[in-house]
Amino acid sequence: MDIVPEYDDMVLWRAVEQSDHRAFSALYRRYYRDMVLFCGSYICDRQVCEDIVQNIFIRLWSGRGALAVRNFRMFLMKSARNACLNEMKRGGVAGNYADYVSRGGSMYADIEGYILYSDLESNMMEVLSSISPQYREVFVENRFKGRTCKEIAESLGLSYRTVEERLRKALKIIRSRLKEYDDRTKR
Amino acid sequence: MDEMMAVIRKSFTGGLSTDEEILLEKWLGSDEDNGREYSFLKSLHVWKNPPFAPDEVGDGRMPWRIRRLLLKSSIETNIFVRVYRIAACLLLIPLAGMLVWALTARPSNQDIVAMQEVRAPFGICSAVTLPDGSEVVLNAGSSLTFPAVFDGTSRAVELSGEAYFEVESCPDRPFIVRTGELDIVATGTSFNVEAYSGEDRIAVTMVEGKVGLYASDDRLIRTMVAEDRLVYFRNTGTVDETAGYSYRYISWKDGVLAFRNDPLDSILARLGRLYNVEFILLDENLAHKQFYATFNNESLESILKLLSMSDNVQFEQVSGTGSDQGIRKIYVMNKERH
Repeated sequence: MDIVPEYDDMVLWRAVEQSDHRAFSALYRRYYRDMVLFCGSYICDRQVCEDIVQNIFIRLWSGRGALAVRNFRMFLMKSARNACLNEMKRGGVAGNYADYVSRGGSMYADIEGYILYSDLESNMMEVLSSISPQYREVFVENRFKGRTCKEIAESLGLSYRTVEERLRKALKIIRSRLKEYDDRTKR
Repeated sequence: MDEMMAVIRKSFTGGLSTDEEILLEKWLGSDEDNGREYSFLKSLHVWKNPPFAPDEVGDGRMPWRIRRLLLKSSIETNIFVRVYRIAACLLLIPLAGMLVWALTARPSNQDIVAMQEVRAPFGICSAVTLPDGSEVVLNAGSSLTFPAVFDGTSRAVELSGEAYFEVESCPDRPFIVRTGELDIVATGTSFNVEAYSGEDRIAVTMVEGKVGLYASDDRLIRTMVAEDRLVYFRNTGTVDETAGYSYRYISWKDGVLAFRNDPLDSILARLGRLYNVEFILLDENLAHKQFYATFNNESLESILKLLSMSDNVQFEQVSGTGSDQGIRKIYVMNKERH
């Protein structure tokens, strides 16, 4: 008998809205590290990122009755992203990607397909093992070993277009498989 | 594609030229799915090249400034919950009465002092009123023995297990709690005594007033005043006073289980007594894992759920135990085992 199913995000959030702090700490534990690392994609300072995430959680608690949260993780990521962009504007942290975003880059293009660190950590190997070796090979060479399509095409004796096509498909499949894992475990 | 990938990669680390920016923007705008692909690539980038070591990031234990925030609001909102809790505790009193083994006391014979014993079975805590009006809350798995009538000079009771005392003030008739190795002598005062047989420690936590602790040879070991806490070790006869007072040591009497970075093995010992289950620790590394949690009158299932949610520990009932097959047994193990 397994007596410990994970509550999903929204169940916990509804409890937080009723001022349940155990639910709040559960959400905190679930997302803290992933959110800090997500912030790290904007700001390379760990301490700054940790502060940003802690402040978001403080605001979540203080506003628990008043916030319209439909998808907890999305809400968290949007808050984190906005906080990072603000922090960069305010503190003049050496901007990279943020310059582009703040100048009007597609709204949330940087969030929707983002897979959290711990989800990649726990599911990537399983997803990779579930796709066809042809796609896997191209993906691993390109993403993990940093080789270009051209180099891969040469070493595998394939045409550039074939490699390109496989990589495109591989990315798509892997992304959607990882998303499935996400949706199954957390919402 | 290679060119686009290079631009995307560069956008993660910074330093895009204006031309490259325009290129990226065009690509993102050309297909709705490109935005999602972009952020997916970004998450892969963070995963493979984390901006700082993921292990350095705090482990998810909330910092004090957040915990304080939660604490504050729980005091505001939980007053009504508390009232219900007290009501629930009062309901247990008749139950405790049923458990009293009263050897009928006949006042005609003054020489024989009838003793009675109250037992709080595993899984239930009981409230007892002593002949002098003192109130005792007995924790699960504990027993208290006391005379049907206290004699004129002192009020002595015998405790095995844990109990919270609120003693009626009466300076010339001291109230004595005997635990075998240690006698706690009080006049009027509130205090908690934890003296489970089979455990080395006897812990006394003071809430109000003053008590004296005496060894079995009547030697005074210490006097304690309000908010003191002391642990006495039976085997060595030594005393540890470093442990400060805290509500957590007496919160059990209100149906509140408070763990403040307590190790899992001691948490399981308490839960086992309270819910009448036996825990079997399969992974030794878990024994010292610390937990910070507060539970208000909750079922064992929901406590275990929350414990396992907050750490790498899982619980599994041993099949064929529980209900009519004797005491329920629960395995405790690392999550990786599955």
